[in-house]
Amino acid sequence: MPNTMPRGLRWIQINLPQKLILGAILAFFLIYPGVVKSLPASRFSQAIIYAIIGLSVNILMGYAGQVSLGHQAFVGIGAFTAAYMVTVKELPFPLAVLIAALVGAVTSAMLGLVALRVQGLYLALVTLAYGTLAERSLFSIQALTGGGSGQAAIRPGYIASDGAYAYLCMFILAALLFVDWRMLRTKFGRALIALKNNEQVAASFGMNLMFYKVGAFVITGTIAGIGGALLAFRTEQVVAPDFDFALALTFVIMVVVGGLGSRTGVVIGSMFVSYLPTILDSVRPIFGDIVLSLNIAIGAALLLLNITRFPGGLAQQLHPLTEWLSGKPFPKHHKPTKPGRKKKKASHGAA
Amino acid sequence: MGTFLVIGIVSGVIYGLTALGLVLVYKGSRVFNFAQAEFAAISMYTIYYLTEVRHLPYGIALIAALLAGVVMALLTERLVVRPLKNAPRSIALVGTAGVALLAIGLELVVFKPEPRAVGPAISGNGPQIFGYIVSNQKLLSLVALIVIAVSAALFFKKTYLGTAILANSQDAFATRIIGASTNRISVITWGLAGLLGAIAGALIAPDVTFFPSFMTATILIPAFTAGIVGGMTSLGGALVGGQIIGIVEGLGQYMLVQNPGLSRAIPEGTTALVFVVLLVMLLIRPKGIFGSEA
Repeated sequence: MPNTMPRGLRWIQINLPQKLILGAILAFFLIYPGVVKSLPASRFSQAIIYAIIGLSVNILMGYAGQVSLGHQAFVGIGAFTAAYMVTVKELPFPLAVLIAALVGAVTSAMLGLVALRVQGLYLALVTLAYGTLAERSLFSIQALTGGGSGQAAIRPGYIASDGAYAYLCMFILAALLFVDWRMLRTKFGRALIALKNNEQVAASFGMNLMFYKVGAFVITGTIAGIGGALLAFRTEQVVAPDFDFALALTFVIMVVVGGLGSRTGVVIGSMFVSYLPTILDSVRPIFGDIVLSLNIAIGAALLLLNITRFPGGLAQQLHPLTEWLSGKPFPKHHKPTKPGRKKKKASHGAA
Repeated sequence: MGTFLVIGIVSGVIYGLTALGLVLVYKGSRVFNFAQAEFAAISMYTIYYLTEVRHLPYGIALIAALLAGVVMALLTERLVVRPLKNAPRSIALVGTAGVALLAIGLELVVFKPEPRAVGPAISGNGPQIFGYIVSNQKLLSLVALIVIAVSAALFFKKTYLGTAILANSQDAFATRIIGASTNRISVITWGLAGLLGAIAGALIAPDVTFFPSFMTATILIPAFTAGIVGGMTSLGGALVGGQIIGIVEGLGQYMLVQNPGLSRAIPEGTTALVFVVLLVMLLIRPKGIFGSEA
């Protein structure tokens, strides 16, 4: 039976249990930061900010099909720019975040120009070299980063409490999710997918490769800059060693575990990776101190398991559930699909 | 300055050996192997465990270390690289990075994040060059490099297997048509890469204090730079590239020592220098000095 409701409004048709579950999830996000004490609320904001950064990584890795091993630099540049603007230049908070986003866009546009010349595995090496070079050189400039003790980034009064800050982060995540969702339905979004699937074919259809490639990097950098700024204001103190190569790998893990190219999957995966140390800490009384050092091994094992056995990540595992919740019939024979293929079909439907 | 040159040449040996493993894997599987430095790390930890904890003789520890490196490489090939044979190459790269991360994670659990050290394979000092006393251990590294370079050249020129590996890297499809098993070639290239990594680990182990992630953090990027400079498709280029990077690092160190102001401005100057070389090389000539195609 064809569905006559407009695409965006189909969720209204879902039945009561579906409404209850969706409502419970929504209520949890709305109430949780308000009721918990400052530390859990701060951890919650970190999970939300990781989800924002996950969206940024996903645009490169999931949509454009390009591995980024230098994302810690984009995020770090955003964090230090925001801290510098607020503490040294004494600019208001929203303006600092905006400038961080702008600087993130400009620095990643430079990398995008490089991507026009170097491709594939070699570009992955370029992102690695760029990220670590930025970490080693840029982040050791005393004036920008405040040296070893780091740069302060004090939040203004209206978001001073950790709960209020968590709500702000959630609002920004929701806004970016909306932008991401709409972007993929535009010519630009479809062009990115086409680039990922086959660059030569895309070019022979008259696509301006330069525009789309640099564009993908600019959007990635903008979101990473915002994520970095939010990360800076979360701890209110930014130190350079926080942005090392291990962080870049963490970002890759959370996107791959969540499911490359899937918005919901990336958010779930990012929040999971962000909470992993907390989860391990909570089972410490049962298993002993050894669980604390398992953090890296578990992340890596999940990454390997995902790319070799379940390339769709958590998104693929949760696919029947999310489909059902969004009002479509529960799929009886769920065939695992690659995330890229699913997206392609979806964009055809919108066209 | 001579001193720094000699230091550079000696560290260039390790970079060259690791780069050789990277190039071999790239030729065999078209993937940048981010786990190569961990093949060395597992060999170092095996030597540490058997000689320092179990107090076994060095010879046994060395054989076990080389075996450990090969086994780890073969497991990587079978469990991660082969399932990703038809996946995008960048996903295979993420896979090898995952292997490295898993190895680091397990080292953290088993050996704790504490610095470890092992005794030298042969003690005593060799000749003095430019006022720098070259220990026998370092001489051994140089000899090992020359032996490996010569035997690799013979292997790839004279044996059926060596030429099959080279043929596979040029055209995998045609290689299968003439009846060489690509899977077997893949297993052998990864096994050799593991062996090279393990040898590099055994050679460098007595000269450093190591901890989990030490090898990946300090060796992998210079080795990649060496591979790129020499050309990721050129086996000889990897060894030459290793020497170039080692010497560049040595000279950089010399410059930093001469100018204290410079070293204060850029605390990790030599590491940054290697990244600059990598970035410039990738932008100007990604296929490297001796490489045939990018």
